[in-house]
Amino acid sequence: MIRNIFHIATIIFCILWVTKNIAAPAYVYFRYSEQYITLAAKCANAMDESWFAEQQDTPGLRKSTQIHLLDCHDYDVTRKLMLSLGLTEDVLAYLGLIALETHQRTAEELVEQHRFRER
Amino acid sequence: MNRIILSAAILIFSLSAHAISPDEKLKIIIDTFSIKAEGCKTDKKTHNKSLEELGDFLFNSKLLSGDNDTSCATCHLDNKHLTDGLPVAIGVGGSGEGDARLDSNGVIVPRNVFSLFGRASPHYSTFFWDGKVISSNGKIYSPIGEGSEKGFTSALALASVLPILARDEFLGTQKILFSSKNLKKINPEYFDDKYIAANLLLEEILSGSSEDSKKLREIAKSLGLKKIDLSVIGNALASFIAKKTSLECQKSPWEKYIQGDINSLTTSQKEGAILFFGKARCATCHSGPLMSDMKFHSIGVPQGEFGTHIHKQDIGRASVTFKESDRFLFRTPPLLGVSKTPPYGHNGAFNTLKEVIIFHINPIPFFAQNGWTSRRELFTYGKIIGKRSETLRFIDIQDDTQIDAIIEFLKAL
Repeated sequence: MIRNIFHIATIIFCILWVTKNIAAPAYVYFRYSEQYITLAAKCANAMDESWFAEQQDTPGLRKSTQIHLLDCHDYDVTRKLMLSLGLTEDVLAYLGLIALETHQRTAEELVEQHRFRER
Repeated sequence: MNRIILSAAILIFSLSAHAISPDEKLKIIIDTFSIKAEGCKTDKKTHNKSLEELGDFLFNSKLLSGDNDTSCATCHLDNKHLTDGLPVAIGVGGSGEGDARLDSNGVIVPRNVFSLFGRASPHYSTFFWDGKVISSNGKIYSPIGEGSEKGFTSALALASVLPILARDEFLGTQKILFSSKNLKKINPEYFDDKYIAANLLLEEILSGSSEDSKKLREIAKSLGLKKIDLSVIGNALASFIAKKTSLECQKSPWEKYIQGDINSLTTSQKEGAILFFGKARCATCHSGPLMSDMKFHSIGVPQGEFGTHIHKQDIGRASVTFKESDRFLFRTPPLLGVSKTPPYGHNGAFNTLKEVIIFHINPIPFFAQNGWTSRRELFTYGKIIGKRSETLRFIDIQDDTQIDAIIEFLKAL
């Protein structure tokens, strides 16, 4: 009896462990990573443009930056959801680099760009 | 009656006698702009003879790159006037030289490589396209802190080590596993911590077992250096660059002209010089012995598909100051040897001198001919064109002959 309980407890523990550490992060990665990249890009852009626009100290521009920064709300929500479901900060940082387009790009893209311009 | 005719003849003769010749105009220009032939002059602070050998070794060795695939000499080629001839540099992960690097799997460094000639000049105070290293009032301002306190003897010395700390230039390619220790240890750090991390790594490199590590230890021993930190590396690289560029520096035809050899310029080059310093307004920014005011301006260079800032933009000086007024501004490039260093612009957007000169005057023909340089430029170029320098509105060039003359003059620099 005790043995059975131990087996069941072990199985439940294993299932929970796999769900928390592997299944949930994998699900959230495949389900939300593209959405996260889009929202992170929008939010980064809003923050960057607002930083420069606010230096103009123009009331109209200031109001418009407040609206622009609303783009960051959806980003924050998605980020917290992904973290709560077990995705690590490292993975989000990597996705962030792609979103900001500051990741390393190879010479192949440079060659491609020149082909694009020559068309 | 005869007297009137005689007076008129004398008047006409005297008028023609006082027409200003190109050489007389150039004399006025040289006086007005206080132009001196100092392009080859070297700042003594950049040059420590005892460190030349160490600098030579470091300039050509791949030891300091994370993946052991990059050296200073990779992108500053002798046969390209110490540039690489590419629009933007190909850094870590690349192989070969010049155009051959395009076929490698190297990482794009989204700025045009500048020549090293003139960098050891006492007039060279602002380094890199965005001026991330500036010497002012005896201090050296940089992304790793004030340089002279750290032992850098010149701004060139500090500027020389920044590529070693840059992800895409030296630290290494990013991999999920097994990224270089340079990348892991230095890339996540900021400001002064980057300098500290680099010095710790240098200790490891010095105690390494590779042939280049051994050679570095030998040189350090022969020089009596107890330790080699980043400031020693910078001072050594600066000394080597100062030696290399001063040895190979030859007075340009324009400098010979300034010193009195009026036959060193062709007629067309003289016409070009008069335009350059006059109605073409070039010398408004391209001034001084290095043909740069060392200040920041914009001509509205198209952004292309690669940039140092987010979303492939290059915001220029603002990436250092974060000021809106500096957005999309770049330091005026010096023009010494400019005809030998195509392509032009901070991202090499212009293949020829003619293309970049016309772009100063009017950017529309460039886009009419080439289209937008990136997929998003239709929507973003408005931000950039608004930053074009006011001075450009006063350029008064009227035909191709005048542009050709300016190009001829640029060949004499």
